[in-house]
Amino acid sequence: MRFKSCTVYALNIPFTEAFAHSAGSRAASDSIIVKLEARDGTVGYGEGVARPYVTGETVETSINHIRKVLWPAVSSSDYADLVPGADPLHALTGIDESLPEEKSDDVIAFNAARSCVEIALIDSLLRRRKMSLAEILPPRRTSLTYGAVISSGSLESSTSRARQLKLFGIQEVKIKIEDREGIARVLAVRETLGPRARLRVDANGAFNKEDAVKVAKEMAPLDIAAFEQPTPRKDGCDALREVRRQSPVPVMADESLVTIDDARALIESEACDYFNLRLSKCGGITRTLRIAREAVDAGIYLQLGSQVGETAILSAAGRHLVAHLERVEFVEGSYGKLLLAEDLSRDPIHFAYGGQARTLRGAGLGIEVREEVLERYAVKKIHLREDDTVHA
Amino acid sequence: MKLRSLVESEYGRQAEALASCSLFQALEQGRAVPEDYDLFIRGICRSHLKSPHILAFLFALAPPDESEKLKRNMLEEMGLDEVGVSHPALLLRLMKAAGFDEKRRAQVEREAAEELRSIISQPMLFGTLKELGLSVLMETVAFEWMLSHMASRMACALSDYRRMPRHSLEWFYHHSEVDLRHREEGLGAVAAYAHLYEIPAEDAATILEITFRENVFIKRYFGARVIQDEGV
Repeated sequence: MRFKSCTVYALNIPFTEAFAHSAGSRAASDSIIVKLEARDGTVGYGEGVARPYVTGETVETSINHIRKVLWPAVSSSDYADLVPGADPLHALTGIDESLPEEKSDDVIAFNAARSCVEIALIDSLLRRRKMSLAEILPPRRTSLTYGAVISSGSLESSTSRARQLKLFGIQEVKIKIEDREGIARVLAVRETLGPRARLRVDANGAFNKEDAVKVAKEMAPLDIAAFEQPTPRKDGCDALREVRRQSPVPVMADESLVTIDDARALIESEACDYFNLRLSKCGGITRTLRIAREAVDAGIYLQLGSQVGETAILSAAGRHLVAHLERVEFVEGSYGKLLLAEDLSRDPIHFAYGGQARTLRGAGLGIEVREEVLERYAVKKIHLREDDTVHA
Repeated sequence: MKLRSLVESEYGRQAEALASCSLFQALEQGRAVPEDYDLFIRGICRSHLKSPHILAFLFALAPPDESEKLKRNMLEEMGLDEVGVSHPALLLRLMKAAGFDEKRRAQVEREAAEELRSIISQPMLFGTLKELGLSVLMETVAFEWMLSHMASRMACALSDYRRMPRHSLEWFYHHSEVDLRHREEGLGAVAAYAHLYEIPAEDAATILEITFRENVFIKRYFGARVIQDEGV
């Protein structure tokens, strides 16, 4: 299968409410969407979310990487059909390998850019054969239970959000904290949701290892299931391992886990109990699956995380992957119009009461992208053709 | 605070935001271009063409004491009451008078149908129909409440600056008059509904908060982008 064009959209979809954590605050989705069109007219979509504090990418550098590195490779490749088999990695590896690596001093990995293109390739190849991604990634379950996230903010706003989640029957909740004062919010959420809710805390690297241990010990009586990224990535695996050693709360790696090398280093140093996998952060479906395999082999449990402001494209890809994976303890994402003023899919795929969501069965990712919504919220659009001419 | 007061305060806040939004002010003060008036007409029609369907849904869930009023309201919308004027027909008349050709009118009707489809296709976030029903009732009454205050102003703007003939604006006149009654009945229906289904005050307040986390008027009439631009 040969591709004749690639359209890159930088989006700005307003949120229904602002979202904040220790590394930033945002009021709109800034996802990057890639639409690939094959010579036979088949269209596929992919998505990535550039986060400077995670992979080092910005929207601009991601788009440039797609334009200069990934699209030229895609447009010069002839892709074989995806064939279901015993090992999904075997089916998908060819796509991942067709996308070149490029190193940059400022960027850990161009994973958001890769995610956009890799998912769009997979969607296109499957759509041409009217196959669902579920045929490549056979689901181990038919329904999933999503959790929700309470962003940083006041005690009142956290309590109010917890009340909403209670009404939605959500029992899995992650609370973003920026400092030790955040513990009061965790307590308020626990009191609102009651003892049955499973709470996790995410610091996005806000603490040094000493403070992280203190916070973990203070939170322990609140029955916290996991403490996500207590220390910053720059402090390395040693800091995480030290927190894990002293913390009564299990530790989860997020920003510290971007590449397969990160995964191996975390496993080697026994730095965490959980991996937070995110498709955009980890470079698409194939690479995330590869990291998940290594985690499972090492006895590490998984969370399928999401990008704040992701659209139905990334949510659908995540749903297929998480339905397939073993050892998944927590699932995030699929917020759709709970967070976005408008989502891209014709039929909403956000989770229902209790965080419940069914696996998707339609061709490709299993969603129908509304082009008019994509156009409406695009703040930048670049059309690339086979000859790599840029038409902004 | 009693639910009725809480709901009415929220309606007031939402309507105030609509009135002070720059797009609406431009329409009212004659500073908007004709295309903006047409976009507003399109937003009104898209938002209200399927109102009878929503009222029928609410009628099915209504407390027994309120169901007669809701039925009357629904029949009124459908033009099956003694007045005999169907509201969707008034909206089609509005579009025709604005010069929307058949293709454009059909497009707006498709958009309205698509919005209804989207609502129906949403995975259910609430545990039961009683919470969903309260949310839909709150939003429906919000429009009646707002229109009872603002429909005449909308009609004036369209008449003065878009030169719309009076007979084409009947939908607005109808709502400015009839919704005075609907406004009171609606607020009563919200309270009666919460009471009948024994929805705790805290849950009702949370449903109100969820339903109006965005400005429903601006979103439906002008689109979500405007909410962002206006910082509402």
